Order: sequence, then structure tokens, then C-alpha cells
Amino acid sequence: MECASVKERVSEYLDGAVSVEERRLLKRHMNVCRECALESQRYAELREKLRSLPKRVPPADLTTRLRVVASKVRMESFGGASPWRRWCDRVELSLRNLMRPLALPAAGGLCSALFLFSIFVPMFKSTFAMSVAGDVPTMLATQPMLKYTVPIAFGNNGDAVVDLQLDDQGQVVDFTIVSAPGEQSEKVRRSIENSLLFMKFWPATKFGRGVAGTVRFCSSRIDVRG
Amino acid sequence: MAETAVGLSLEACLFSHEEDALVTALSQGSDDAYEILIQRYQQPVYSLVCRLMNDPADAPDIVQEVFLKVFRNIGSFRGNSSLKTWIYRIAVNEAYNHRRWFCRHQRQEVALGSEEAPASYAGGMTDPGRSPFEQAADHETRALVEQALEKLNPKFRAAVVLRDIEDLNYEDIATVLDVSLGTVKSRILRGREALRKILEGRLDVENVRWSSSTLSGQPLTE
Repeated sequence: MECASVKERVSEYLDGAVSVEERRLLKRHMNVCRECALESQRYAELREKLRSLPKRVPPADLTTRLRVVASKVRMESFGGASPWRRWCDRVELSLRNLMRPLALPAAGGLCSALFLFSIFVPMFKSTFAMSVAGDVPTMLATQPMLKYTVPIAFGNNGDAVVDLQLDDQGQVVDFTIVSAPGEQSEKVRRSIENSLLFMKFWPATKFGRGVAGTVRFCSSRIDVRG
Repeated sequence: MAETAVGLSLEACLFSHEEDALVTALSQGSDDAYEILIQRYQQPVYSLVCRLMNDPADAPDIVQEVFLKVFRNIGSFRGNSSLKTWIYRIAVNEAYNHRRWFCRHQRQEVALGSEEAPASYAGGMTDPGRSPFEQAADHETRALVEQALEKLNPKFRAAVVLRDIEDLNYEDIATVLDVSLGTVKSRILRGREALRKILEGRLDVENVRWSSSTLSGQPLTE
């Protein structure tokens, strides 16, 4: 084997990329040719130097960057959501991010307002509508109610609306005609006064005690044939 | 969901057909598969790209591009070569493209300092059995080899790096570089020759320098 061809094959020889026969021939040549043996040794040393080069360590943020890329590609390929759905999700996320800082203060404010309202409202409001007659819970105010009356009519045709002022015993102390046919006439006024004689009222109460109050009384005439 | 269907776990990838399983899981969009791929190939690809580029500061961007292409095109991987070879091929092409782009658009600005910290050479540098002097000499030699690699023709350089640093066989290198086996052999030989010529003068000078400094330092150490 010639030195020139050995030098051409020495690189492959070192990498073990030659046939068994070629390897034998190359080895035999190098045993007798010092120059080619040195050439082979130099290549071997060079290869060792290259192999001993330290591994390059990637920067710390590279893994995060690659994970972001992976996530992006995965969403592109396997997200499955339509553009409309993606747009909706984006809007929903924006709204959620916008409202989240306000959620706690708003909830706290609402609870505080409800608490204060429940404390102070009985003090400000004096009367409550009662649906069950005679059932007077303490701590609440009631309006005066009609105890009994007689089937009489005010005025000429019986249609009238009258505001009655009651004392703490339920007695009528005064009245004002709101609306009645011919309300200015003395006859109507007397008719109302006579009717009031036959009426009895439960007085208005506050915390279970009778107080003066006002009640609006309406009467209407019904004619029955027979 | 793809994850549950595939049922891939880190442990499962340790079995014999792990590469096939990994590729299948990747093509089905498994989170674990993406993570395994990143953990397994991030460092080798980064190392390869660093050695193919003159400026290691560009390497993270190129690695990111490489993985983007791998994730997007994993469906087109047919298994004709190993996954590593396929990824390396993308990395080499990406590095070439970047180099071409860089040559066309020469940088106008000058960087104030390299982002690559010297600490990136850490690991493998410290050898408790060697003296500080020997470690310093090794460091010097490695720096010279790195500089010599940068001066090589890019084609020879890729072949030498893939063979001597990444330890790929000739067939895999031919696949990565998309050239014939004969061309691979030729490029490796020419690359090694060129590298040796570049290093010959320098290493001799370094050896003399280190030897003389050792001799002059001997009385002081005794």
C-alpha cells in the first residue's frame, strides 16, 4: 500500500469505517512506515481533543421558551376550538380579568349596605302593611283598622272617600272629606257624621302600644234588586 | 383527550420502542411527549448549533426555530432515519439558513458583550485528579480547538462536529447533511486535515510556552 492512499484512508481507519482486509493492510503499512503511523497518531490525538470539548450548557430560559413554543404549536394543531369560540374565550378572559379586582370590594360593599339597611330601616320607616288582622308582632308599627260598621252610605248616592283621624283608643277625633258627591253640602257632612257614630276602629300601634293614626275610608253604594 | 388516549408517561418512554411511542404521542399532541422531546434533545441540539455558528449568542433563537419546525412537522416524520438524525438535519439546515441570512444582512451594530457566559463551559472542566496548572493548560487547548473549529469551512466543520463531537456514524451524517457517503468521508478527512493544520502551529507554540513556564516554575514549587 502506498503512503498517499494510506493518508487518504487514515481518517476512515480511525473511525472504523474500513473493511477488515483494508484494516489489515493499513495496519501492516503503519508498522513499517513511521510517517504514516505518526499521521494516524496525530489524527487520533486531534479526535481526542475534539471529543474532550465540554458540552455547551443551554441558557436557563431556553427550556421555558421551548415549552411556550410547544404549547403554541399544540394549541394550533390540537386546540380544536373554532375561531369564534377562541374569540369568545378571549373576550370572556378579558372581562374576567377586568372584573376580578372589583369583585371583592363590590361584594364587601353590598354586604355592608345590606347589614346597615337591616339595622337602620325600622327606625326610619314607621308603618308596615299588615296582612293578618289582630296578629301584632312587637317591635313593629301597625295601621288603624276597622273593627265594625253598619251598612250605611255616605251622602246621596253613597260613593265617598273620607280621611279619618283617630286617637290612641281608636276613637274618631276628626275627619276630612277627600271626595264625595256634593261634598260641600251640609247634608252630606251630617250623613258622614251619623255614619261615624256606628263605626269602631282598632287604633294604630307602635311597639304594641296604641298611638294616634289616620285611616282612609271608602264607601260605595250597591243596589240589590228584589 | 389525546393525553389520556395515548397514556404516555415518562416511564413508558424507557422501553424498547420508546422512539416510536414518542413520535406517535407527539403526533397526537401529548403534553408529556413534548416535554420529553425538549428534555432529551434540547442540550444536544443547542451544543450542535453552537458549534456550527460563529456567534453562540444566536444559538438559542436557532434552537427555538428548530424545535418549532420539529413540533410542526412531526407528522411528516416517516421513521426512515432515527428521530435524532431527523432533528439534527433540521438543526443543520436551520444553522446554514441563519448563516446565509447573516452573510446577506451583515450586522450594522456591534454587540457590547457576548451573552454567552464563560460559565457555559462548566461541567467537565473540573477534574479533581488534575493540578490547577494542568486544568489551565486543558482550558487553553480547548479554547484553541474551539477557535480552530470556527475557522473551518462550514461544510467540513459540520461533518467533523457531527462525527467527532456528536459521535454520529457515517450513514447518519450522510442523512443529516443530505449528501452521499463518499462525500461525508471526504468532508471529514478534509475537515480534520484543515483543523490539524490550523492547530499544529498554535498547539506547538502553546506546548513550548507551557513547558518553559513549568520549568521556570519548578524551583519555586520545590
